[in-house]
Amino acid sequence: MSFNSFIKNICSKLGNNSKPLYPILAISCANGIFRPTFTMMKKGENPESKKYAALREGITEVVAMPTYFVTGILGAKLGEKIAVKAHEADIAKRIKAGEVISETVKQEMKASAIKKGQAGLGLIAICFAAGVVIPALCSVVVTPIMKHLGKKNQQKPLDIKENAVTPPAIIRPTTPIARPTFNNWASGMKVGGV
Amino acid sequence: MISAISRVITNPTVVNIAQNADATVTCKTTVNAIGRPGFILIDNHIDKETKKFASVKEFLYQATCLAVYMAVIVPIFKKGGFKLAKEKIYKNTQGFEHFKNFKEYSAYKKIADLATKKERLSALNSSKTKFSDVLTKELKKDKPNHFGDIKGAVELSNITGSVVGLAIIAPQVSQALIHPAMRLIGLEKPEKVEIKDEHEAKQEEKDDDD
Repeated sequence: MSFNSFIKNICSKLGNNSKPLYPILAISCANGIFRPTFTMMKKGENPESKKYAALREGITEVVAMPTYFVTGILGAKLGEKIAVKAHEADIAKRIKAGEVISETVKQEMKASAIKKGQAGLGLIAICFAAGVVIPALCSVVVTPIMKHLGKKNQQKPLDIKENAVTPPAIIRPTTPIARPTFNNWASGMKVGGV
Repeated sequence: MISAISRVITNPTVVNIAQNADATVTCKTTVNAIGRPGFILIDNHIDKETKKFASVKEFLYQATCLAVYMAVIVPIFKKGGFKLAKEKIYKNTQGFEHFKNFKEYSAYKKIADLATKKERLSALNSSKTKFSDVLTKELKKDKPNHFGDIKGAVELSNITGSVVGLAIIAPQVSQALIHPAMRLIGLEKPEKVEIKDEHEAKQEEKDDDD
């Protein structure tokens, strides 16, 4: 297969049924490759910090990719079910009202409803994954994995020293220093101390 | 209940966004720009100042990515992808021969995507774009041709643009913009000024010694 026919094949498939999952997965995959690479290419940074940041970014995308995939597919399936049920209810209502609908038209309407339902809820599911599920999963999963791998952040915490709120100095109760008392101070040192 | 949910998810606007790679990516990045800083802000393991710093930084990063993506990547890749497909891949076949450029196809698609014939006809009459006779006839039909191959070519260039833009170009640009923006807000120390001050202090010390 030549390059042109390969591209034509992809274009034809995307033209007939473009799902929101495709660009999101492509971006997530590219982010998983390029973000850690760019981090490792940064100059003038501590190598350990670079490794830590790159690994963290990589793990984040590893978490994000299957999450997008699963939520996208689940959303599309649920969307299909909802659209089919709503379509059946709508058809039943129309027939009850005396409208005559042929089987072909019914099938066409059903196919259209399924396509729309899959696309709509697929998009909503992906947005939900991007905004809620992935950040929540990352905050739960990434830190334990980093700990398990034995990586510690070597980076300086953050460059906000001048604005940071310094904790108030703790005032501890002071006790007077107990000084040793010398009973026979004037008599000089004696062997045995007494 | 189900029909209400169905009405929301099969809403033409939602479906249009879902079937458009650039709209989907824009939607997702907008959600990211709200969700990620939000999650940083509700994290109890970080102190208040760090939370503020990290959430503002994340928001600026996502917002810059989105701005770069929408301003540069989408128009360039859409137009470029259409031209490349028309001239090199399809060689003016499969419907490409009816359209001079991406702008004309985009105007056609907007009308063809309308749900009813009545809406299409009124949109055709009020349209500023002058379509050829073939396209005008097509839009007047009950089911106008959507030119799936052209749509696919545009979608493919959108996906390519999204990957190149969001994973390669936008992060580099946003990295260059974030630090000055953070300094402007006052969340980051101006490094250069500090170095200059130190240097000046040393000079002053030397002068005093002399």
